[in-house]
Order: sequence, then structure tokens, then C-alpha cells
Amino acid sequence: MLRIAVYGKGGIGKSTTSANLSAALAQKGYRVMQIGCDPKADSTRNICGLKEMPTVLDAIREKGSAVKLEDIVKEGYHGILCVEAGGPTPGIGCAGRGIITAFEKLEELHAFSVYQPDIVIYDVLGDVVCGGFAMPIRDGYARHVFVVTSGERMALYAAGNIAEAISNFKRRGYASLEGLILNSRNIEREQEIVEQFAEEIGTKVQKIIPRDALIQSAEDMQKTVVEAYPDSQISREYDSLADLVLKICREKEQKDE
Amino acid sequence: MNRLNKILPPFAPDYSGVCSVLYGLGGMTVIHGPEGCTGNYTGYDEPRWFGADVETVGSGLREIDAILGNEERLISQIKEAAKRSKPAFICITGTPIPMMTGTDFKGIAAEVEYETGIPSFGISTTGFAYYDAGASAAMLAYTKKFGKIQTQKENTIGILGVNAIDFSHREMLYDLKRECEKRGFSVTASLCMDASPEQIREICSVSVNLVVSGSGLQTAQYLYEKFEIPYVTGIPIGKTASDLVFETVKRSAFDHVCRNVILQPQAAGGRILILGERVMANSIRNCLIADHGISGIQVCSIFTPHPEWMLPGDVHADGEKEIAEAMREKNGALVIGDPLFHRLIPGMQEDTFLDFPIQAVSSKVYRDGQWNLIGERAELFAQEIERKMRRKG
Repeated sequence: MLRIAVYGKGGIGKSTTSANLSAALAQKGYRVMQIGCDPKADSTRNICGLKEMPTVLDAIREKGSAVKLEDIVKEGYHGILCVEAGGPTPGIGCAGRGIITAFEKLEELHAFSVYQPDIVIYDVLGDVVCGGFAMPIRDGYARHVFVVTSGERMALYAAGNIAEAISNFKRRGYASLEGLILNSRNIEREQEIVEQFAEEIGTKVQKIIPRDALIQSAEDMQKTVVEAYPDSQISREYDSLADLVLKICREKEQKDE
Repeated sequence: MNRLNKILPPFAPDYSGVCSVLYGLGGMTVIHGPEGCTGNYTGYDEPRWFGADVETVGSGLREIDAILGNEERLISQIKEAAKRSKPAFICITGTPIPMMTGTDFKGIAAEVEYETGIPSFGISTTGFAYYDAGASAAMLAYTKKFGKIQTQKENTIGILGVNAIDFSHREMLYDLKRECEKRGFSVTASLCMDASPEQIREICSVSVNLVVSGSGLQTAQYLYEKFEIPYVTGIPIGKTASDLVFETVKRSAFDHVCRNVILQPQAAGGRILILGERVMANSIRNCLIADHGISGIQVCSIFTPHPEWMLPGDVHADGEKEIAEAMREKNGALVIGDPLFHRLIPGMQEDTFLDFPIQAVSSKVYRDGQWNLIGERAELFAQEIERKMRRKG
């Protein structure tokens, strides 16, 4: 089972990237599970087509210990298994701790052994790198991390923080940073800025996703662009991202073995 | 707010269970949290604490360390202490504040082990679960870390789930071992109390395990899955009921099927309500049915629930409110439970309550009144029940 975390600043397009990556992988015949780790709980909306995804924390709030896997895992496009961790009551509670609780619940219910996905994608909000939001890169969770960024300063700042968190866990043998995915905003010298930044933090830009109006158009239909416009150029970009991610992760795992 | 105790003290927490299980094994257990948390264990939950030369240490977590995630301070403190005392192992366990900040106990332990060369493990206790959950996690972690793979030896038994909180009466474990020996089983190890690290390492070689509290279940399941060692759940309490436990143990050792010894009363609950740890309470019920022909017994378990060991009509109480509800519902029945439960029902008649002190509830307050129920020693206890029932009419 490949376990991959996609981090990025809020609003940078990490959920769009994750969802399209999941869709492209599912089209290739893999059983994919995508776990949204953002209190907004909108990571898998375009895969499931549901207006509001039920979240693990909401289910715990309502049902306590009686929560079952079918309450929190929903199947979407091409059988992708969708989970949203959810968040606390706005204004109070602790979002980071919420992620931990959601993960503990999935573990308690043996989600991975029941569904046996080939690939798990954790889509994680990267603005806050506290203990909770770092959970997906700890022991037993994601082995590979990709960071979605643009050339904007705040997105790069968040990417730098995530890289630092991963580096802090080095001695514990946790996940490794496999590179950046540049989600283009078409700002001036964007590729050059991001490539320079990647070099500074000791990684590289693995893929550039061009800006494309079809992404928004697909989202208006509550679909991924891979599903809505399968023959488009942008859909092919996600397909090649899927191939690249698989290649990088497999090579890394072979090397580690 | 089910777990809000207004009359009862808070029950022993999970990290106390961890420390209790690892007591006396030559390791160092670090309770990561503010100092008060360590005081719970040393002052109230551990009956063997006074005069003990045991290394359970508090990390003295400061507010600023929690806010800034200063794990380095904890790691260097542990390294420093380990250099001084050279423990056989290091266990790092948590309390509510590290739980909230998502402290990575497994990762910290991995780092400590890497840097000190001392086998280390982390247990993510939170202070929100009960002692039995912590005891269970510690027993499993220790077994996984130190259990030695080897061939099984015939007529050997492991006792799983003994900890000083459930077995705080000092002679109980001694008698339990003697019962096993009397029935032809050599006790390889009792996890985790009164057993040396060398004995515990041999736990993977026993022919059968006896699970005597909920805290032994996870380790029993692990040993069954990994080494196909069957287990039987139940405590030999009373003469006939003990015979039944050991007949079952022999059957399981022979056919490798795991079993629970739970007798079904002839009539539905109504005459007696037993409040306590599930395996202990079920075993008391077995004794009353098998040895004394008493029916109408309901068990209300407290601490971590185990639905697999409940009979129809049994209940589970998560805290004070539900304990009081179970007692009110069985109005007129003889209630067996910790003396502090008596206070939950004002005006309750003396003859409708039998004191059965529970360390995790009332600590040392009623320690002199704790019962040893192993084997035929349960006779006195059963006579007291019969006497109360006669007086009650």
C-alpha cells in the first residue's frame, strides 16, 4: 500500500490536485482512498459529488463509540474511498487534535484492512504544522510527502514550514519529502521562483500543473476535471502526475528496502 | 458529561495502569505531564509505592514546553536520567496535555532508543481512559518488545491481566498461582506482577493463558494470533467454579480454542447486582451460581467496556451517573461494590449493600476490607452474601 501525503497552504489547490490525482490513479485501476485533513472538509467533495461530506468528527459527535466505517467512508468516482476528518466547533476546540482523533477512529475500525486500498492519499492543510497536522507524516501513516505550492510568498512560506517539520522527524525514520508540485497562478517568473525555493530547501519541482479554466468549470459541476473533461490537456497533465507520483514513490520504497 | 464524578473521586487513569504493569521490571517509566499527574499514581493508585525502589518519574512538563512543542527538553532529560540509572528499558507515557498537543510518543521513544541504545517504547495514554486501558497497552507493548519466540512447553500456563490495581490484595496472586499449580499447571509468568523480566520473556512458550482481567485480553489475543496460544477468560473463584475454570483451561490447551467462562443464571437479574471490573464480577457471579445455587444476578461492569463478556441483561457504567442509575434500577437487590458507591444512593439500607473495595475507585481508603476470593477462600464472601440476603428477606 502506497501512502502519500499532499500538503499545501489553504486555497493553493491541494484538494484539487489531490482529487484529480486520486481520480487519475483510480482510472488506472488502483483502489484509492483519499482522506481529507482540513476542518473545511471539502477535499473529496468533487469525487463524491455530495454537497456536504459526512466527517469523522461529526459522526463521533453524533454517535460516540457507535460510529461504523460506513458512516464515515463514502465511495465516489471509480470507487475512490472518501473520508473527511472534519473539525471542531468553530471558535473553540482544537483542529489539530481533531485530525488525531479522526485517525485514531479509522485505526480502531481497521479501515485499511477492511477496504484494502492500494494507495492512500492524505490531503492535509499545511498552514499549521502543529502536532495534529503533522500526524499524517508520522509512523504508520504517509511515507511520501508532496507539497503543492505556487510562486506566491505565503504558499512558499507554508511549504518551507512543512519541509522543516519533515526534516525534524528525520531521526524517527518517518516520511520523506518527494518534491513540490507547482500549481501555477501565472505570476511573473513563477517557475524560476519555485525552482529556486526548492533548491534552497533541498528538493525539486516534480511537476508543473498549468492554470486551466476547465478546472473551475469541472468544479462548478462538482466533479474533478479528470472525470468531467477526460480528453482535455489538463486531464492529461493529471494523468502524467499520477504516473510520476507512482514512479517516485515506488523507486523510493525499493531503495529503502 | 456522563463521566463527571460529583460524589466519587476520579477513577485510576490509564497512565497509572501503564506504570503499575511496568513496576519492578527494572525499567524507567516516564509520565510526561505536569507533576500532579505523577502524584495520582504514586499517591493513590499504586498500592506498592511506599518504600519502593522503582523508577517512575514525572517529566515536569512546563506550560511553555507544551506551547512550543519542546520535545528536545524531554528527550535530553530522559537521556540524562538513563545515563545515571541505566534502566533495562524506557517507557514514555502521556497525560492530558501531551494528548492535546499531539505528542508523538512512539517517535520520541524511537529517538531515545536510538540515542541511548536502551530498548524504549512509547504509550499514548491520555489520562481520559481508565487504568485498565493503560495496563493493557503496557502489557502488550512489553510482550511485543521482549517476548522470546520459542517452542511451547506442555502443562505450562501464563496468567494475563494481573496488575496491582485489580489484584491489590497481596495474597490473591499468590493463591491464584497456587490454584494453577494444584491443577497441574506450572505458571511460567504472571503479566505483569510478581514476575521477573526473564519469566515474562518466556510467555510465548506457554501451552495456555488464563485471562484474569480485561487488561490481559489484548496480550492474550496477540499471543493467540502470533503463536496460536489459546486463552481462557475467568478467575477461579469458589470451589466448583474454579473446577470449571480449570476444566475449560485443559480443554482449551488441548483443542486450541479460546473460551470465556461465563455462567448464565437460572433467572434474570433482580436479586444481586455486582459492580466492578468485568472479569472479576463475572467470576464472582460464576461462583454464586455454581457453588451456591444463587440466581438472579446482574453484573454492571465499570472501567473499559467488554461487550463480548456481557450476558443479556448485563449493563456497563461509564461513570458515577450510570453506576447510580444501575443501583436505583435494582432497588431492593443486594448490591456488591466499592463502599464509596453506597454514597450514591442516600438512605440506602446497610443490609442491601456488601462492601467490595476496588483500588481504582477508593484507593487505600478501604484496603483493609479488600477480599481475597481465589478458590475456596471465596466461601467467607459467599456466606456474607447469603447472610445479607437472609436478613434482607
